[in-house]
Amino acid sequence: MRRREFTLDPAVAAELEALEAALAGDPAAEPELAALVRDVRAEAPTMEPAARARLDRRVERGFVSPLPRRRFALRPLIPALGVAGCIVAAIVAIALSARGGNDDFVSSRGGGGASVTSQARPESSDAAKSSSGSGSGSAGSSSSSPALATPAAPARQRRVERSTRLELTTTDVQKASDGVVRATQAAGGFVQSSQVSTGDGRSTSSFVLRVPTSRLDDALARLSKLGHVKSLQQSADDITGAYDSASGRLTEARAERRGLLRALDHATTAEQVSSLRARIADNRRELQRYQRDFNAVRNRASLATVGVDVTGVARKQATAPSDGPWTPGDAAHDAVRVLEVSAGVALIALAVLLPLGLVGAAGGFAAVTLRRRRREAALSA
Amino acid sequence: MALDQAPATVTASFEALYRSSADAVYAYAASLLRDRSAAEEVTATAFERALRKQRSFDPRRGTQRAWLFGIARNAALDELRRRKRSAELSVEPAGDEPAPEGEAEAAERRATVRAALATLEPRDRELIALKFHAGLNNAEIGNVLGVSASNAGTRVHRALTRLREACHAPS
Repeated sequence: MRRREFTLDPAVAAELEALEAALAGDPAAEPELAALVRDVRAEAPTMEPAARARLDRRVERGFVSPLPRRRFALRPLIPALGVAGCIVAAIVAIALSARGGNDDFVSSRGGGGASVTSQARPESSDAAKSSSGSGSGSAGSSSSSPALATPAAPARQRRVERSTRLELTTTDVQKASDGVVRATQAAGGFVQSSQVSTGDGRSTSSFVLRVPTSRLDDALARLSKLGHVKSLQQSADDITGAYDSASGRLTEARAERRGLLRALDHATTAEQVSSLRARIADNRRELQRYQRDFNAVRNRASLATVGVDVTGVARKQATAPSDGPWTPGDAAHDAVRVLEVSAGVALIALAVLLPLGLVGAAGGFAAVTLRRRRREAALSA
Repeated sequence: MALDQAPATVTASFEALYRSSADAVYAYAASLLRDRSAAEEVTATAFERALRKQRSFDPRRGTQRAWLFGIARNAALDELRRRKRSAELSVEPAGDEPAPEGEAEAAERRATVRAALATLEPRDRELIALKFHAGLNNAEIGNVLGVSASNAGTRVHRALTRLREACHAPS
Protein backbone atom coordinates (compact mmCIF):
# COMPACT_ATOMS: atom_id res chain seq x y z
CA MET A 1 0.00 0.00 0.00
CA ARG A 2 1.40 3.38 -0.95
CA ARG A 3 1.48 5.75 2.00
CA ARG A 4 0.96 9.46 1.65
CA GLU A 5 4.06 11.53 2.23
CA PHE A 6 4.05 15.15 3.33
CA THR A 7 6.61 17.87 3.80
CA LEU A 8 8.10 18.01 7.26
CA ASP A 9 8.18 21.21 9.22
CA PRO A 10 11.60 22.84 8.65
CA ALA A 11 12.36 22.91 12.37
CA VAL A 12 11.44 19.25 12.72
CA ALA A 13 13.47 18.36 9.66
CA ALA A 14 16.47 20.24 11.07
CA GLU A 15 16.29 18.42 14.40
CA LEU A 16 15.96 15.10 12.64
CA GLU A 17 19.03 15.92 10.59
CA ALA A 18 20.88 16.75 13.76
CA LEU A 19 19.76 13.44 15.25
CA GLU A 20 20.94 11.56 12.20
CA ALA A 21 24.31 13.28 12.49
CA ALA A 22 24.59 12.33 16.14
CA LEU A 23 23.57 8.74 15.38
CA ALA A 24 26.18 8.60 12.62
CA GLY A 25 28.88 9.80 15.05
CA ASP A 26 29.47 13.01 13.17
CA PRO A 27 31.99 15.12 15.18
CA ALA A 28 30.07 18.22 14.16
CA ALA A 29 26.90 16.88 15.71
CA GLU A 30 25.21 18.74 18.50
CA PRO A 31 27.09 17.75 21.72
CA GLU A 32 23.99 17.30 23.86
CA LEU A 33 22.32 15.18 21.23
CA ALA A 34 25.48 13.13 20.74
CA ALA A 35 25.64 12.51 24.48
CA LEU A 36 21.99 11.49 24.51
CA VAL A 37 22.59 9.06 21.70
CA ARG A 38 25.57 7.64 23.49
CA ASP A 39 23.70 7.25 26.78
CA VAL A 40 20.60 5.72 25.20
CA ARG A 41 22.71 3.25 23.27
CA ALA A 42 24.56 2.41 26.45
CA GLU A 43 21.22 1.60 28.01
CA ALA A 44 20.30 -0.77 25.18
CA PRO A 45 19.24 -4.13 26.64
CA THR A 46 21.71 -6.83 25.74
CA MET A 47 21.06 -10.52 25.46
CA GLU A 48 22.78 -12.68 27.98
CA PRO A 49 25.59 -14.78 26.51
CA ALA A 50 23.86 -18.03 27.39
CA ALA A 51 20.65 -16.94 25.69
CA ARG A 52 22.59 -15.73 22.68
CA ALA A 53 24.42 -19.04 22.45
CA ARG A 54 21.12 -20.93 22.56
CA LEU A 55 19.71 -18.77 19.83
CA ASP A 56 22.86 -19.21 17.74
CA ARG A 57 22.49 -22.97 17.93
CA ARG A 58 18.87 -22.87 16.99
CA VAL A 59 19.58 -20.68 14.01
CA GLU A 60 22.37 -22.99 12.88
CA ARG A 61 19.97 -25.95 13.04
CA GLY A 62 17.30 -24.03 11.17
CA PHE A 63 15.04 -23.94 14.21
CA VAL A 64 14.56 -27.69 14.10
CA SER A 65 13.55 -27.54 17.73
CA PRO A 66 10.64 -25.21 17.73
CA LEU A 67 9.63 -22.86 20.44
CA PRO A 68 6.65 -23.81 22.54
CA ARG A 69 3.78 -23.47 20.12
CA ARG A 70 0.23 -22.63 20.52
CA ARG A 71 -2.05 -25.50 19.76
CA PHE A 72 -3.49 -25.77 16.30
CA ALA A 73 -6.14 -23.11 16.27
CA LEU A 74 -9.25 -23.88 14.26
CA ARG A 75 -10.96 -20.62 15.01
CA PRO A 76 -9.02 -18.46 12.53
CA LEU A 77 -9.83 -20.98 9.85
CA ILE A 78 -13.59 -20.80 10.35
CA PRO A 79 -14.18 -18.03 7.76
CA ALA A 80 -12.01 -19.85 5.25
CA LEU A 81 -13.80 -23.11 5.97
CA GLY A 82 -17.13 -21.36 5.56
CA VAL A 83 -16.15 -19.95 2.20
CA ALA A 84 -14.79 -23.31 1.14
CA GLY A 85 -18.03 -24.97 2.18
CA CYS A 86 -20.06 -22.47 0.16
CA ILE A 87 -17.85 -23.10 -2.86
CA VAL A 88 -18.22 -26.86 -2.54
CA ALA A 89 -21.98 -26.53 -2.15
CA ALA A 90 -22.14 -24.30 -5.22
CA ILE A 91 -20.08 -26.79 -7.24
CA VAL A 92 -22.31 -29.65 -6.14
CA ALA A 93 -25.42 -27.66 -7.01
CA ILE A 94 -24.02 -26.81 -10.42
CA ALA A 95 -23.04 -30.42 -11.01
CA LEU A 96 -26.47 -31.66 -10.01
CA SER A 97 -28.24 -29.10 -12.18
CA ALA A 98 -25.99 -29.99 -15.11
CA ARG A 99 -26.70 -33.67 -14.51
CA GLY A 100 -30.44 -33.00 -14.43
CA GLY A 101 -30.16 -31.22 -17.76
CA ASN A 102 -28.31 -34.18 -19.22
CA ASP A 103 -31.03 -36.49 -18.00
CA ASP A 104 -33.61 -34.42 -19.83
CA PHE A 105 -31.45 -34.49 -22.90
CA VAL A 106 -31.05 -38.26 -22.73
CA SER A 107 -34.75 -38.74 -22.13
CA SER A 108 -35.55 -36.64 -25.12
CA ARG A 109 -33.09 -38.50 -27.31
CA GLY A 110 -34.25 -41.84 -26.09
CA GLY A 111 -37.86 -41.01 -26.75
CA GLY A 112 -37.77 -42.82 -30.04
CA GLY A 113 -37.47 -46.07 -28.22
CA ALA A 114 -39.57 -45.26 -25.22
CA SER A 115 -43.09 -46.55 -25.03
CA VAL A 116 -44.47 -44.22 -22.36
CA THR A 117 -44.03 -40.51 -21.88
CA SER A 118 -44.99 -38.27 -19.00
CA GLN A 119 -48.45 -37.86 -20.44
CA ALA A 120 -49.19 -41.52 -20.21
CA ARG A 121 -51.66 -42.69 -17.61
CA PRO A 122 -50.08 -45.64 -15.89
CA GLU A 123 -53.11 -46.42 -13.73
CA SER A 124 -55.12 -46.99 -16.84
CA SER A 125 -52.31 -49.01 -18.28
CA ASP A 126 -52.09 -51.15 -15.18
CA ALA A 127 -55.81 -51.73 -15.16
CA ALA A 128 -55.76 -52.64 -18.79
CA LYS A 129 -52.75 -54.92 -18.36
CA SER A 130 -54.44 -56.76 -15.59
CA SER A 131 -57.41 -57.46 -17.77
CA SER A 132 -55.73 -57.81 -21.12
CA GLY A 133 -55.86 -61.55 -20.94
CA SER A 134 -59.54 -61.66 -20.18
CA GLY A 135 -60.83 -59.16 -22.63
CA SER A 136 -61.23 -61.48 -25.54
CA GLY A 137 -64.69 -62.44 -24.52
CA SER A 138 -63.97 -66.15 -24.73
CA ALA A 139 -66.23 -68.16 -22.54
CA GLY A 140 -63.44 -70.42 -21.44
CA SER A 141 -61.53 -67.74 -19.60
CA SER A 142 -62.30 -67.54 -15.91
CA SER A 143 -59.64 -65.15 -14.64
CA SER A 144 -60.85 -61.90 -13.15
CA SER A 145 -59.25 -58.49 -13.00
CA PRO A 146 -58.05 -57.69 -9.49
CA ALA A 147 -57.93 -53.98 -10.31
CA LEU A 148 -61.51 -53.75 -11.43
CA ALA A 149 -63.19 -56.60 -9.61
CA THR A 150 -65.49 -55.60 -6.79
CA PRO A 151 -65.55 -57.41 -3.47
CA ALA A 152 -69.28 -58.09 -3.89
CA ALA A 153 -68.69 -60.20 -6.98
CA PRO A 154 -65.24 -61.71 -6.72
CA ALA A 155 -65.91 -64.49 -9.22
CA ARG A 156 -67.48 -62.25 -11.81
CA GLN A 157 -65.41 -61.92 -14.94
CA ARG A 158 -64.70 -58.30 -15.79
CA ARG A 159 -64.91 -56.99 -19.32
CA VAL A 160 -62.63 -54.02 -20.05
CA GLU A 161 -62.51 -51.79 -23.07
CA ARG A 162 -59.04 -50.41 -23.69
CA SER A 163 -58.20 -47.44 -25.85
CA THR A 164 -54.84 -45.82 -26.51
CA ARG A 165 -53.74 -42.57 -28.12
CA LEU A 166 -50.17 -42.41 -29.41
CA GLU A 167 -48.45 -39.33 -30.89
CA LEU A 168 -45.22 -39.86 -32.79
CA THR A 169 -42.80 -37.43 -34.41
CA THR A 170 -40.40 -38.48 -37.10
CA THR A 171 -38.47 -37.14 -40.02
CA ASP A 172 -39.98 -39.70 -42.43
CA VAL A 173 -43.76 -39.81 -42.11
CA GLN A 174 -44.25 -42.21 -45.01
CA LYS A 175 -41.84 -44.73 -43.58
CA ALA A 176 -43.42 -44.48 -40.18
CA SER A 177 -46.90 -44.88 -41.67
CA ASP A 178 -45.86 -48.05 -43.40
CA GLY A 179 -44.45 -49.22 -40.12
CA VAL A 180 -47.76 -48.56 -38.38
CA VAL A 181 -49.56 -50.86 -40.81
CA ARG A 182 -46.92 -53.57 -40.47
CA ALA A 183 -46.95 -53.38 -36.68
CA THR A 184 -50.73 -53.63 -36.62
CA GLN A 185 -50.78 -56.68 -38.84
CA ALA A 186 -48.01 -58.30 -36.86
CA ALA A 187 -50.12 -57.93 -33.73
CA GLY A 188 -53.09 -59.57 -35.39
CA GLY A 189 -55.06 -56.35 -35.70
CA PHE A 190 -56.34 -54.25 -38.56
CA VAL A 191 -56.45 -50.66 -39.65
CA GLN A 192 -59.94 -49.35 -39.11
CA SER A 193 -59.22 -46.01 -40.74
CA SER A 194 -56.25 -44.01 -41.89
CA GLN A 195 -55.41 -40.61 -43.26
CA VAL A 196 -52.02 -39.60 -44.66
CA SER A 197 -51.16 -36.05 -45.67
CA THR A 198 -47.81 -35.35 -47.36
CA GLY A 199 -46.51 -32.30 -49.13
CA ASP A 200 -43.91 -29.55 -49.07
CA GLY A 201 -45.09 -28.45 -45.69
CA ARG A 202 -45.63 -30.53 -42.64
CA SER A 203 -46.49 -34.18 -43.30
CA THR A 204 -48.91 -35.96 -41.00
CA SER A 205 -50.76 -39.21 -40.83
CA SER A 206 -53.37 -40.56 -38.48
CA PHE A 207 -54.66 -44.07 -37.94
CA VAL A 208 -57.38 -45.79 -35.98
CA LEU A 209 -56.26 -49.34 -35.31
CA ARG A 210 -58.06 -52.28 -33.76
CA VAL A 211 -55.70 -54.64 -32.05
CA PRO A 212 -56.51 -57.72 -30.00
CA THR A 213 -56.47 -56.64 -26.42
CA SER A 214 -54.23 -59.53 -25.49
CA ARG A 215 -51.54 -58.20 -27.84
CA LEU A 216 -51.97 -54.50 -27.24
CA ASP A 217 -48.74 -54.12 -25.30
CA ASP A 218 -46.78 -55.85 -28.02
CA ALA A 219 -48.34 -53.59 -30.62
CA LEU A 220 -47.57 -50.47 -28.62
CA ALA A 221 -43.96 -51.54 -28.25
CA ARG A 222 -43.66 -51.95 -32.01
CA LEU A 223 -45.39 -48.64 -32.72
CA SER A 224 -43.24 -46.73 -30.24
CA LYS A 225 -40.12 -47.68 -32.16
CA LEU A 226 -41.30 -45.92 -35.28
CA GLY A 227 -40.43 -42.43 -34.03
CA HIS A 228 -40.13 -40.17 -31.05
CA VAL A 229 -43.04 -40.75 -28.69
CA LYS A 230 -44.44 -37.32 -28.04
CA SER A 231 -47.30 -38.57 -25.91
CA LEU A 232 -49.03 -41.79 -24.96
CA GLN A 233 -52.44 -41.86 -23.36
CA GLN A 234 -54.18 -45.01 -22.30
CA SER A 235 -57.59 -45.57 -20.79
CA ALA A 236 -59.56 -48.59 -19.60
CA ASP A 237 -63.36 -48.66 -19.19
CA ASP A 238 -65.23 -51.40 -17.40
CA ILE A 239 -68.03 -52.61 -19.72
CA THR A 240 -68.92 -55.72 -17.74
CA GLY A 241 -72.47 -54.47 -17.16
CA ALA A 242 -73.12 -53.82 -20.83
CA TYR A 243 -71.60 -57.18 -21.74
CA ASP A 244 -73.72 -59.10 -19.24
CA SER A 245 -76.85 -57.23 -20.29
CA ALA A 246 -76.34 -58.02 -23.98
CA SER A 247 -75.47 -61.59 -23.17
CA GLY A 248 -78.60 -61.99 -21.00
CA ARG A 249 -80.89 -60.59 -23.65
CA LEU A 250 -79.39 -62.95 -26.21
CA THR A 251 -79.77 -65.95 -23.92
CA GLU A 252 -83.37 -65.08 -23.17
CA ALA A 253 -84.14 -64.67 -26.85
CA ARG A 254 -82.59 -68.04 -27.60
CA ALA A 255 -84.60 -69.66 -24.80
CA GLU A 256 -87.74 -68.06 -26.12
CA ARG A 257 -86.96 -69.38 -29.60
CA ARG A 258 -86.53 -72.88 -28.23
CA GLY A 259 -89.87 -72.60 -26.43
CA LEU A 260 -91.62 -71.31 -29.55
CA LEU A 261 -90.18 -74.15 -31.60
CA ARG A 262 -91.41 -76.68 -29.06
CA ALA A 263 -94.83 -75.05 -29.05
CA LEU A 264 -94.88 -75.21 -32.85
CA ASP A 265 -94.22 -78.93 -32.71
CA HIS A 266 -97.24 -79.34 -30.48
CA ALA A 267 -99.55 -77.01 -32.41
CA THR A 268 -102.70 -78.75 -33.63
CA THR A 269 -104.62 -76.03 -35.41
CA ALA A 270 -103.76 -73.84 -38.37
CA GLU A 271 -104.36 -70.74 -36.34
CA GLN A 272 -101.91 -71.88 -33.66
CA VAL A 273 -99.32 -72.69 -36.28
CA SER A 274 -99.75 -69.32 -37.97
CA SER A 275 -99.53 -67.41 -34.69
CA LEU A 276 -96.44 -69.29 -33.56
CA ARG A 277 -94.65 -68.74 -36.88
CA ALA A 278 -95.31 -65.02 -36.60
CA ARG A 279 -93.85 -64.96 -33.10
CA ILE A 280 -90.89 -67.04 -34.23
CA ALA A 281 -90.25 -64.53 -37.00
CA ASP A 282 -90.33 -61.69 -34.49
CA ASN A 283 -88.08 -63.66 -32.22
CA ARG A 284 -85.63 -64.24 -35.08
CA ARG A 285 -85.36 -60.50 -35.68
CA GLU A 286 -84.87 -59.87 -31.98
CA LEU A 287 -82.30 -62.61 -31.83
CA GLN A 288 -80.39 -61.08 -34.75
CA ARG A 289 -80.47 -57.66 -33.12
CA TYR A 290 -79.35 -59.01 -29.75
CA GLN A 291 -76.60 -61.00 -31.44
CA ARG A 292 -75.32 -57.83 -33.14
CA ASP A 293 -75.41 -55.95 -29.86
CA PHE A 294 -73.59 -58.73 -28.09
CA ASN A 295 -70.96 -58.97 -30.82
CA ALA A 296 -70.40 -55.25 -30.63
CA VAL A 297 -69.89 -55.34 -26.89
CA ARG A 298 -67.65 -58.37 -27.17
CA ASN A 299 -65.51 -56.66 -29.79
CA ARG A 300 -65.14 -53.66 -27.55
CA ALA A 301 -63.64 -55.93 -24.95
CA SER A 302 -61.58 -58.10 -27.26
CA LEU A 303 -60.27 -55.43 -29.61
CA ALA A 304 -58.49 -52.38 -28.25
CA THR A 305 -58.73 -49.12 -30.15
CA VAL A 306 -55.40 -47.48 -30.87
CA GLY A 307 -55.26 -43.99 -32.34
CA VAL A 308 -51.89 -43.13 -33.85
CA ASP A 309 -50.89 -39.65 -35.03
CA VAL A 310 -47.59 -39.34 -36.87
CA THR A 311 -46.17 -35.83 -37.36
CA GLY A 312 -43.21 -35.00 -39.53
CA VAL A 313 -40.45 -32.77 -38.16
CA ALA A 314 -37.28 -31.29 -39.62
CA ARG A 315 -34.18 -33.45 -39.32
CA LYS A 316 -32.43 -31.27 -36.78
CA GLN A 317 -35.45 -31.51 -34.48
CA ALA A 318 -35.67 -35.27 -34.71
CA THR A 319 -34.26 -36.91 -31.65
CA ALA A 320 -34.48 -40.52 -32.61
CA PRO A 321 -30.97 -41.94 -32.54
CA SER A 322 -31.66 -44.29 -35.40
CA ASP A 323 -32.44 -41.58 -37.93
CA GLY A 324 -29.07 -41.88 -39.66
CA PRO A 325 -25.34 -42.20 -39.25
CA TRP A 326 -23.38 -39.74 -37.12
CA THR A 327 -21.94 -37.24 -39.58
CA PRO A 328 -19.23 -34.58 -39.20
CA GLY A 329 -22.05 -32.06 -39.22
CA ASP A 330 -23.58 -33.78 -36.23
CA ALA A 331 -20.17 -33.76 -34.57
CA ALA A 332 -19.80 -30.03 -35.15
CA HIS A 333 -23.29 -29.45 -33.81
CA ASP A 334 -22.53 -31.54 -30.74
CA ALA A 335 -19.23 -29.73 -30.24
CA VAL A 336 -20.97 -26.35 -30.33
CA ARG A 337 -23.55 -27.68 -27.92
CA VAL A 338 -20.83 -28.89 -25.55
CA LEU A 339 -19.18 -25.48 -25.72
CA GLU A 340 -22.49 -23.77 -25.01
CA VAL A 341 -23.15 -25.97 -22.01
CA SER A 342 -19.60 -25.50 -20.75
CA ALA A 343 -19.87 -21.75 -21.11
CA GLY A 344 -23.16 -21.81 -19.27
CA VAL A 345 -21.73 -23.84 -16.44
CA ALA A 346 -18.72 -21.55 -16.27
CA LEU A 347 -20.98 -18.51 -16.19
CA ILE A 348 -23.07 -19.97 -13.39
CA ALA A 349 -19.94 -20.92 -11.49
CA LEU A 350 -18.62 -17.40 -11.94
CA ALA A 351 -21.89 -15.94 -10.75
CA VAL A 352 -21.62 -18.03 -7.61
CA LEU A 353 -17.90 -17.75 -7.01
CA LEU A 354 -17.53 -14.04 -7.70
CA PRO A 355 -19.71 -12.90 -4.78
CA LEU A 356 -18.13 -15.54 -2.59
CA GLY A 357 -14.70 -14.32 -3.60
CA LEU A 358 -15.63 -10.74 -2.86
CA VAL A 359 -17.05 -11.73 0.50
CA GLY A 360 -13.94 -13.75 1.22
CA ALA A 361 -11.67 -10.89 0.21
CA ALA A 362 -13.64 -8.46 2.34
CA GLY A 363 -13.51 -10.90 5.23
CA GLY A 364 -9.79 -11.36 4.82
CA PHE A 365 -9.21 -7.61 4.68
CA ALA A 366 -11.38 -7.13 7.76
CA ALA A 367 -9.50 -9.89 9.59
CA VAL A 368 -6.14 -8.34 8.76
CA THR A 369 -7.34 -4.90 9.80
CA LEU A 370 -8.82 -6.24 13.01
CA ARG A 371 -5.65 -8.10 13.88
CA ARG A 372 -3.56 -5.00 13.22
CA ARG A 373 -5.81 -2.89 15.42
CA ARG A 374 -5.66 -5.43 18.20
CA ARG A 375 -1.90 -5.42 18.03
CA GLU A 376 -1.82 -1.65 18.16
CA ALA A 377 -4.25 -1.74 21.05
CA ALA A 378 -1.86 -4.03 22.91
CA LEU A 379 0.83 -1.41 22.45
CA SER A 380 -1.43 1.32 23.79
CA ALA A 381 -2.34 -0.62 26.91
CA MET B 1 -1.27 -22.32 13.76
CA ALA B 2 1.92 -24.19 14.45
CA LEU B 3 4.73 -23.66 12.06
CA ASP B 4 6.26 -26.43 10.06
CA GLN B 5 8.44 -28.59 12.27
CA ALA B 6 10.92 -29.36 9.50
CA PRO B 7 14.16 -27.36 9.65
CA ALA B 8 14.45 -24.56 7.15
CA THR B 9 17.52 -23.89 5.09
CA VAL B 10 19.65 -21.16 6.57
CA THR B 11 21.00 -19.17 3.67
CA ALA B 12 24.08 -16.99 3.73
CA SER B 13 22.01 -13.84 3.49
CA PHE B 14 19.88 -14.91 6.42
CA GLU B 15 22.98 -15.79 8.39
CA ALA B 16 24.33 -12.32 7.71
CA LEU B 17 21.03 -10.75 8.66
CA TYR B 18 21.00 -12.67 11.91
CA ARG B 19 24.56 -11.73 12.80
CA SER B 20 23.99 -8.05 12.11
CA SER B 21 20.53 -7.71 13.63
CA ALA B 22 20.13 -10.17 16.49
CA ASP B 23 21.27 -7.75 19.18
CA ALA B 24 19.20 -4.92 17.78
CA VAL B 25 16.10 -7.09 17.55
CA TYR B 26 16.58 -8.20 21.13
CA ALA B 27 17.09 -4.62 22.30
CA TYR B 28 13.99 -3.53 20.44
CA ALA B 29 11.92 -6.39 21.85
CA ALA B 30 13.20 -5.82 25.37
CA SER B 31 12.45 -2.09 25.12
CA LEU B 32 8.94 -2.86 23.97
CA LEU B 33 8.18 -5.72 26.36
CA ARG B 34 10.40 -4.68 29.27
CA ASP B 35 10.92 -8.35 30.02
CA ARG B 36 14.19 -10.12 29.39
CA SER B 37 12.92 -13.69 28.95
CA ALA B 38 9.97 -12.55 26.84
CA ALA B 39 12.35 -10.53 24.68
CA GLU B 40 14.52 -13.59 24.14
CA GLU B 41 11.50 -15.62 23.12
CA VAL B 42 10.23 -12.91 20.81
CA THR B 43 13.66 -12.55 19.23
CA ALA B 44 13.83 -16.27 18.55
CA THR B 45 10.27 -16.24 17.20
CA ALA B 46 11.06 -13.31 14.94
CA PHE B 47 14.08 -14.99 13.41
CA GLU B 48 12.27 -18.29 13.06
CA ARG B 49 9.39 -16.60 11.25
CA ALA B 50 11.83 -14.68 9.11
CA LEU B 51 13.60 -17.89 8.22
CA ARG B 52 10.36 -19.60 7.25
CA LYS B 53 9.14 -16.60 5.29
CA GLN B 54 12.42 -15.52 3.73
CA ARG B 55 11.07 -16.25 0.24
CA SER B 56 8.26 -13.78 0.80
CA PHE B 57 10.69 -10.88 1.27
CA ASP B 58 10.29 -8.35 -1.54
CA PRO B 59 13.19 -5.84 -1.82
CA ARG B 60 10.89 -3.41 -3.64
CA ARG B 61 8.87 -2.96 -0.48
CA GLY B 62 11.76 -2.04 1.78
CA THR B 63 15.03 -3.20 3.23
CA GLN B 64 15.59 -6.59 4.76
CA ARG B 65 16.13 -5.04 8.18
CA ALA B 66 12.83 -3.20 8.01
CA TRP B 67 11.13 -6.45 6.99
CA LEU B 68 12.78 -8.26 9.91
CA PHE B 69 11.78 -5.60 12.43
CA GLY B 70 8.23 -5.69 11.10
CA ILE B 71 8.15 -9.40 11.91
CA ALA B 72 9.70 -8.75 15.31
CA ARG B 73 7.15 -6.05 16.02
CA ASN B 74 4.24 -8.35 15.23
CA ALA B 75 5.74 -11.07 17.42
CA ALA B 76 6.26 -8.61 20.26
CA LEU B 77 2.74 -7.23 20.00
CA ASP B 78 1.33 -10.75 19.88
CA GLU B 79 3.30 -11.50 23.02
CA LEU B 80 1.96 -8.34 24.66
CA ARG B 81 -1.57 -9.32 23.81
CA ARG B 82 -1.04 -12.83 25.05
CA ARG B 83 0.42 -11.81 28.33
CA LYS B 84 -2.05 -8.98 28.80
CA ARG B 85 0.20 -7.28 31.14
CA SER B 86 2.98 -4.74 30.91
CA ALA B 87 6.09 -6.30 32.24
CA GLU B 88 8.70 -4.38 34.07
CA LEU B 89 12.10 -4.01 32.49
CA SER B 90 14.25 -6.72 33.98
CA VAL B 91 17.53 -5.69 32.44
CA GLU B 92 20.12 -5.17 35.02
CA PRO B 93 20.40 -1.48 35.85
CA ALA B 94 23.84 -0.27 34.91
CA GLY B 95 23.86 2.18 37.78
CA ASP B 96 23.96 -0.64 40.28
CA GLU B 97 27.61 -1.23 39.58
CA PRO B 98 30.06 1.20 41.12
CA ALA B 99 31.30 3.63 38.53
CA PRO B 100 35.02 3.98 38.02
CA GLU B 101 36.74 7.17 39.01
CA GLY B 102 35.93 9.94 36.51
CA GLU B 103 32.90 8.22 35.10
CA ALA B 104 30.52 9.22 37.85
CA GLU B 105 29.11 11.98 35.75
CA ALA B 106 28.51 9.63 32.85
CA ALA B 107 26.90 7.09 35.13
CA GLU B 108 24.62 9.72 36.55
CA ARG B 109 23.68 10.82 33.08
CA ARG B 110 22.87 7.26 32.04
CA ALA B 111 20.73 6.80 35.12
CA THR B 112 18.83 9.89 34.15
CA VAL B 113 18.32 8.54 30.63
CA ARG B 114 17.23 5.16 32.00
CA ALA B 115 14.67 6.82 34.22
CA ALA B 116 13.50 9.00 31.36
CA LEU B 117 13.04 5.99 29.09
CA ALA B 118 11.01 4.30 31.78
CA THR B 119 8.58 7.20 31.83
CA LEU B 120 7.97 7.13 28.09
CA GLU B 121 4.87 5.66 26.54
CA PRO B 122 5.39 2.29 24.85
CA ARG B 123 4.96 3.86 21.41
CA ASP B 124 7.66 6.42 22.11
CA ARG B 125 9.91 3.79 23.65
CA GLU B 126 9.43 1.68 20.53
CA LEU B 127 10.45 4.59 18.31
CA ILE B 128 13.53 5.29 20.39
CA ALA B 129 14.51 1.64 20.17
CA LEU B 130 14.03 1.52 16.43
CA LYS B 131 16.00 4.71 15.96
CA PHE B 132 18.76 4.42 18.53
CA HIS B 133 19.22 0.67 18.97
CA ALA B 134 18.23 -0.68 15.56
CA GLY B 135 19.57 2.32 13.65
CA LEU B 136 16.72 2.36 11.15
CA ASN B 137 16.15 5.41 9.02
CA ASN B 138 12.75 7.06 8.84
CA ALA B 139 11.69 5.17 5.73
CA GLU B 140 12.52 1.85 7.38
CA ILE B 141 10.69 2.84 10.54
CA GLY B 142 7.73 3.78 8.35
CA ASN B 143 7.80 0.31 6.84
CA VAL B 144 7.89 -1.29 10.26
CA LEU B 145 5.02 0.79 11.62
CA GLY B 146 3.01 0.84 8.40
CA VAL B 147 3.17 4.60 7.98
CA SER B 148 4.93 6.98 5.61
CA ALA B 149 8.55 8.08 6.07
CA SER B 150 7.48 11.63 6.85
CA ASN B 151 4.97 10.38 9.38
CA ALA B 152 7.65 8.17 10.92
CA GLY B 153 10.00 11.17 11.07
CA THR B 154 7.38 13.23 12.84
CA ARG B 155 6.78 10.46 15.36
CA VAL B 156 10.51 10.04 15.97
CA HIS B 157 10.82 13.78 16.53
CA ARG B 158 8.00 13.73 19.06
CA ALA B 159 9.51 10.78 20.88
CA LEU B 160 12.89 12.46 20.95
CA THR B 161 11.36 15.64 22.29
CA ARG B 162 9.59 13.72 25.05
CA LEU B 163 12.78 11.87 25.91
CA ARG B 164 14.67 15.14 26.16
CA GLU B 165 11.94 16.62 28.30
CA ALA B 166 11.98 13.58 30.55
CA CYS B 167 15.74 13.82 30.89
CA HIS B 168 15.52 17.47 31.91
CA ALA B 169 12.55 16.98 34.18
CA PRO B 170 13.33 17.43 37.89
CA SER B 171 13.59 14.06 39.53
